[in-house]
Amino acid sequence: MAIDNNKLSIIHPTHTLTGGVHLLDNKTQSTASKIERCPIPAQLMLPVNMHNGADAKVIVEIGEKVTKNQIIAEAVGSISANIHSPVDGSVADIKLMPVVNRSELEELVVILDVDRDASVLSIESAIEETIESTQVDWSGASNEELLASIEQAGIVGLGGAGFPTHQKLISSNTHCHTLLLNGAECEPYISCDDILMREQSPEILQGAIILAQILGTKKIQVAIEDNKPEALLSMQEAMQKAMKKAMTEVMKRTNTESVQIPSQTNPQLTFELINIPTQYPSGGEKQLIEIITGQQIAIGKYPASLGYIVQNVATAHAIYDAVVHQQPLIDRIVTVTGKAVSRPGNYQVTLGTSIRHLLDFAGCNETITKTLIHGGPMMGFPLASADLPIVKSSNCIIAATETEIPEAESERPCIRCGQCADVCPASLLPQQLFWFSQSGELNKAEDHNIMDCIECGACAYVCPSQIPLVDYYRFTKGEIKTRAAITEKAERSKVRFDSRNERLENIKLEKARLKAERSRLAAENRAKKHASSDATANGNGNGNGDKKDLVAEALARVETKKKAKAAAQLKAEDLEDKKEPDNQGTNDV
Amino acid sequence: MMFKSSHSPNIHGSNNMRRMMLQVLLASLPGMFALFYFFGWGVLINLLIASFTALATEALILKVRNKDWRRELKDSSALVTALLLALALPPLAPWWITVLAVFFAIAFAKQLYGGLGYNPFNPAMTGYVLVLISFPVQMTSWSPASPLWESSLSLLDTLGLIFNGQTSSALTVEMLVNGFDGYSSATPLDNMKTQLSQGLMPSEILKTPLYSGFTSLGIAGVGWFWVNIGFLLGGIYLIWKRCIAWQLSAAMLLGLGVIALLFNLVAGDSYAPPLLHLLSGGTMLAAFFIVTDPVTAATTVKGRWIFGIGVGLLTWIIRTWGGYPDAIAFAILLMNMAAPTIDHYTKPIVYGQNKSQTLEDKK
Amino acid sequence: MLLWGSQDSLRYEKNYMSLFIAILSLVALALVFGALLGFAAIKFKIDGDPLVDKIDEILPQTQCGQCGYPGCKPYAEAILKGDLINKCPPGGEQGIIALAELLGREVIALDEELEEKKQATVVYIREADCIGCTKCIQACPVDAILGSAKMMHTIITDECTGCNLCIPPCPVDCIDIIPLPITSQNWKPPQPDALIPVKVL
Repeated sequence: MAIDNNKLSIIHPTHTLTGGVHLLDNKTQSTASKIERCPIPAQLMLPVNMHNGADAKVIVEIGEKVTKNQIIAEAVGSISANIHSPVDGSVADIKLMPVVNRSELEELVVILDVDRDASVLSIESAIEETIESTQVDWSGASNEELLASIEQAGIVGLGGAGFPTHQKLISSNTHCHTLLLNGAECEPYISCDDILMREQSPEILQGAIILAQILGTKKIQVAIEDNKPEALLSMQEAMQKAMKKAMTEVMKRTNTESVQIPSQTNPQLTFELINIPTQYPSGGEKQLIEIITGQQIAIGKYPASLGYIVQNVATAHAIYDAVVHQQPLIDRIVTVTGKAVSRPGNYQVTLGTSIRHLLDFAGCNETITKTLIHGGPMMGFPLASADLPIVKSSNCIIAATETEIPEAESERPCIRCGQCADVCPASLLPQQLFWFSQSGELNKAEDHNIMDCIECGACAYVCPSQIPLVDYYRFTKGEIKTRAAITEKAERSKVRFDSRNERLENIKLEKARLKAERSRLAAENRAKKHASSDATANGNGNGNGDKKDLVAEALARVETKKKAKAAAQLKAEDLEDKKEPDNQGTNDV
Repeated sequence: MMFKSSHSPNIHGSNNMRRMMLQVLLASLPGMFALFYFFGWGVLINLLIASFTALATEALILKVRNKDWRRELKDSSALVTALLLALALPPLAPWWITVLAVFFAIAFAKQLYGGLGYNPFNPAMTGYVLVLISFPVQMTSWSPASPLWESSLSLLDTLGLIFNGQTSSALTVEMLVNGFDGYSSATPLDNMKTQLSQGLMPSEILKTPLYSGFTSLGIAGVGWFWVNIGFLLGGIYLIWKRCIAWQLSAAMLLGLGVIALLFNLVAGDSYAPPLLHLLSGGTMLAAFFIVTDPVTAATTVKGRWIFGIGVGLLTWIIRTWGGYPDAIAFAILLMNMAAPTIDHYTKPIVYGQNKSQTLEDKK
Repeated sequence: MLLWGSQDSLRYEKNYMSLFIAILSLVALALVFGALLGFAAIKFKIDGDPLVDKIDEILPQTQCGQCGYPGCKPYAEAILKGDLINKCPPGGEQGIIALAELLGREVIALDEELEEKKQATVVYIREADCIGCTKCIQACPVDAILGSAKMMHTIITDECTGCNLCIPPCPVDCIDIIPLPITSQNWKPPQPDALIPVKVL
């Protein structure tokens, strides 16, 4: 490839998604305007668990002052992430509170009072300050250092799953040949990745290059659905610039006029831009790989073990921020949309901002908001109240009116039409899974691969009987997991019970044996004493001495026998005692 | 402020059971019109009787089962069963045949198993088979198609025949039909069967007026030809609207057509041509409206092919060598029995299980 | 009965003959199939779990002794010998139904004297009141209490089966029963509305 500006060609894969549904995009409402900064409220609520994994451990105390980017909760174990303070301020409270989760369980939250003086600076100048002040040249950093910055920065998957990124990278650090950036964003309404790609493609690509260096991959692919033409263009330009820059550097290094196509001696990064057809759920990791390569990931394996690493574009951007600007994850882009919102769009929101504050800023009319959804309409979940904080996995908030998301009709019987199986991207039999869930046949459900269900909701979307299929599957999956946990615990209890019994048995046997030993020794001693006293009394008359000896011996024998019998009886009694565990001694066996 | 709860996914497609059932009713109109045109008012009267009986039976049983019958009736599944029976039963059958068939279908073959979605056997076909076996005389009293019949029955006469067993001039169905010029009350399929057994060749049989009159082009029986074309059009409409699984219909027609073709090619003198089979009797009605009943057919894609082909083959076998001229009902019930087994053995390969399609393990 | 003509007698003999052949062939078939079945029963015998292990697998391994036996395995053995299957409260209705299915017995209600366990529970020692007497440690059937004489005792919550055998021996009554805490790790998604079961027993 010569160095002049050939247009980077966009690849259209020939393979298609298995199943899937076509949904109305509903994205244009929120992509009409640029990213806007949502002002920081007076208080921020930061849950200690904003990621997939163990809760972070709070390391600050109530009343303590905190500075911006300070770690306020540390990651615990390998699958966990740090939580940082996004502002200068102080810790107002640390308590259990409702947070954004499906279970509606309360979790530990650190509430920060924002220091108003320090945040008096306007948001724009703050951003400029960050960009101008810190620009680290990371080209000399080792992989360990890069990984450490990513871990330090508390970066998790921003596509919605929230898996700690450094752990994902560590566990796949061997032979990864492709880094795939997921810019599909297949769910309706959500447009935060789209707008990020439109405005910040070069930064996303930089993040990808950092990732590629850590993983040692040579190929970076970005997949974008075809309903995002502006994002495609923007990414195409950024890729071309990146390739040109890389080639210029190589030319400088090797003092050549032109550069051959990358070869063994001239290993370069290759960039590929892939335009995939719009369909739900083509943005799922496994589905994306199927569309791009035509092949599937084996059950139980991850893309990582097969040479592919998939990362969301926003995660790549966060990595760029962490490594280049030394900025931990303290804010994210959130799409605020829905008919009840008068200014729908994408907002850069500080983590811990109350959703109500965000909705007010976006002009949401709460009186006409009937349903508040966190996430997309297919996989998101409804929120009971708006006083919950934005977390790392909050990609979208939908404030829907009555007509926008109408009341679900109550379910009718399944008529076995099979439309659910037609759309399932994992080629499962949702219908059979439903019948097994209904009848509680967990074994059959497991045999039909219910644990491989990605809960995308395509089946429930098409069901003519309006059955909430995904609810059934979640319930059944929960039952299967619980049953496995109970069985495992029962096994452990049994083992403990048996070993305890064995131990007690051994103690008793030991005791009895020792008792028998002691009495035998005592008898022997007595016999010896008699023998010595006999020796002195032997001169008096053998006959009497003999008789006394015999009698003494006989007595000693009886003693020993008695003691042994007593010991044996004790043992038998103890065994009987075990049968009656309560002290009352009721005997209804 | 408390917001409303919602199930995942929070949005829903426009797919709706009531809409699907109404599409089925709509799609049956061309065939129904053909039946009306060629065979008179009988089919419409039967439709009314059947609908009324179906709704009443279902409402009664749902009430006994303590269900919300007003809501359950709205899914129109009882109406569809009634429609299918009305189209399948002879137009001049007595009213009590229709009532009995529909009652049995709804009460025994559907509600007793647990209601919609729980029945293993197709209710319409179960009701049909009940009356076919129990009342063979009434069930084989088909009137010839109207172009062949000089007397055409008025609405009043039809009502009289159905409800009273005789017309205003005290003529019964038998008298009416047999009184006519040599044409018995046999259907084209029945006729073909008896003629073949008497040693005539199919090509000769097809030249008789029963088959070659009124633009039937010597392919299939007069009137029946157009009825089947009507249902074929309705079926194509249903496939286009994605209300039925096209694999079932295609498989049945393929199964029936191919075996008929094979035997016709090999021993053309003793076997009816495939087009006659495809366009006579209840073939098209079954292919697009009855076999495609989702509750009782196989559900996996491969399973649907096997199920459909099975129905087609059995239909041909029973028609040719069995005791009944039109065997679709039996074929369908037999395959209904096999449907769960077919489903079990045709499970699709889950994502990630197909070794040849999975990414190589780089380790 | 027809008159016995010569033709008739021949026919009569033929009938005897065919009858004889029929009986012989049926007997032969029965012997052949019987032999086949016997052979298959021996050749293809599956060495499955002995029944007592299967029963033990169904029992919840709480080792609480409420059934009257010192542990779940002894109760399993007793069931095999003919004892009733309705003596296990932690197993609950589900357990009785599973046992009934396995053994081909009727499902019966839980023994009236025993109280059904409504919810999974664990115990908790109020450390302020504990005197370190080790009586509870001796009582626990699965060694789920950590401690020593005159040292603080504590419950290993992950191993506690909720049998409550430690509560009677405690002289200062410092052990509380608490419901198993629900965390995000063990939270179960709720049952869909249509599945709320109707009580059978």
